[in-house]
Amino acid sequence: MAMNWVELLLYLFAVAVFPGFVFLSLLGTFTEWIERKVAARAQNRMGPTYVGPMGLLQPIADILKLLWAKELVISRGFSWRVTLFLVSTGVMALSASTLLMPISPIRLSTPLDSLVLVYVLFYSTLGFLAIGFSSPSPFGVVGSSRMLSIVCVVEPAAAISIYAISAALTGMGTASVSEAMTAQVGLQQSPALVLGGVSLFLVMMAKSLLKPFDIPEAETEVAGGVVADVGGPLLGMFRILHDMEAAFLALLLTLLVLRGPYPFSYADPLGWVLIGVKFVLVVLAATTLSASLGRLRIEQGVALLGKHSLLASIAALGAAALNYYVVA
Amino acid sequence: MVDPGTLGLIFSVTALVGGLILAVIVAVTKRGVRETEPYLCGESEADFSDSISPSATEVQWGLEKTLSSWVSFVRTKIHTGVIDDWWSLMIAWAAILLIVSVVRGWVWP
Repeated sequence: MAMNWVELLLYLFAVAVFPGFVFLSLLGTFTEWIERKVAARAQNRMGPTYVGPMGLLQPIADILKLLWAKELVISRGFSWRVTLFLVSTGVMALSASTLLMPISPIRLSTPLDSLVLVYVLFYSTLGFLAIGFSSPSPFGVVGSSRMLSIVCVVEPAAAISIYAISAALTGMGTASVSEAMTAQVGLQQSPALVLGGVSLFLVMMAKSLLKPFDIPEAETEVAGGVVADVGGPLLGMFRILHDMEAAFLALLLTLLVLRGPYPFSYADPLGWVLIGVKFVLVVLAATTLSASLGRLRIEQGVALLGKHSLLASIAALGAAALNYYVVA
Repeated sequence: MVDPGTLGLIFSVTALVGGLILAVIVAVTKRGVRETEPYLCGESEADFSDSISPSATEVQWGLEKTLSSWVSFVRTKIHTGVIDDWWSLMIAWAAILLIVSVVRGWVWP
């Protein structure tokens, strides 16, 4: 594909600003603000109040403070430059993936781009894993080892559900996630959409390390977590990646499963308001669930994800195949 | 319209080059580096990175423990360490593939 320089500039703008890095990271900090507020209300606390109106800018302040701090480097066995690169790669991979969404000014759409999305999303998982494994501390390694166990179940579930929803809406051979976001949904496609949506919702909770699946991150209570011995700019980048992953998956759920601006269209300003409302509802549902559940042990988490997320995604694929080969 | 391979390549190059630029920006704008000796819970631990840091074996142990039901199934039914079991599995699998390919050719010639 030959790109002229206007298209190239538009592509760079989309990746760097909207709906890429700048937009997605701001959306990520907003997601984190909702998460912290909901968790605080559930525990009879105030949550962030100090920076910005209602503490809205607190996550940004936290991240900037970390980014401008001194990097604490352990003299032996700590490959922090490689880790910083891998985490940044994950961040930019998420930024680039937003170009599959209809909200982007330049849309890259191809048959089977659902599989490309699954592949690109793995960069961010790699960033999460790299942080713990690169640390010389055994606690970080234990955290990444737990993350790896979750990944063994969550990545197949994410891949199958994204493919199944795309395939149900655009055909088994086409399976374009980009086309699926603007496709018409009939009643016969809804089983795959609902089952895939349930699977994708659990995937979102597990990948954004929300309770009950937050044992890989495991803050102070459990010894061992991916960022147990990380501080400074690297921790800041981890926070950005973490927030962007949550925001990206919530946005994917909003546009793909909740049908974005439906019943309005993308050309209608009301449609964009509705996208915002649906996004907040998805995040509120995930965070309310997260605030009211306790942390699961790793094997319980893996079993729960396998039973509900993976099975739901396989059922969604079955429903999509049934609709494509038998009904249609 | 691009093909999926090109799209994957575009996204990968964007992620890698963009990631490199972002990492360099973060590395340049930070206030500096404070280097410490390896420590554990704030205590200095002279050689813990060589001795008690989990090795790849421990990570594998963690995975096996987490996925124990699946691993034990694989160990008792498939990878038993007995070559005859492996052969019977492989021949059975080849037979399934053969049947699938014959049926496939039959139904859609």
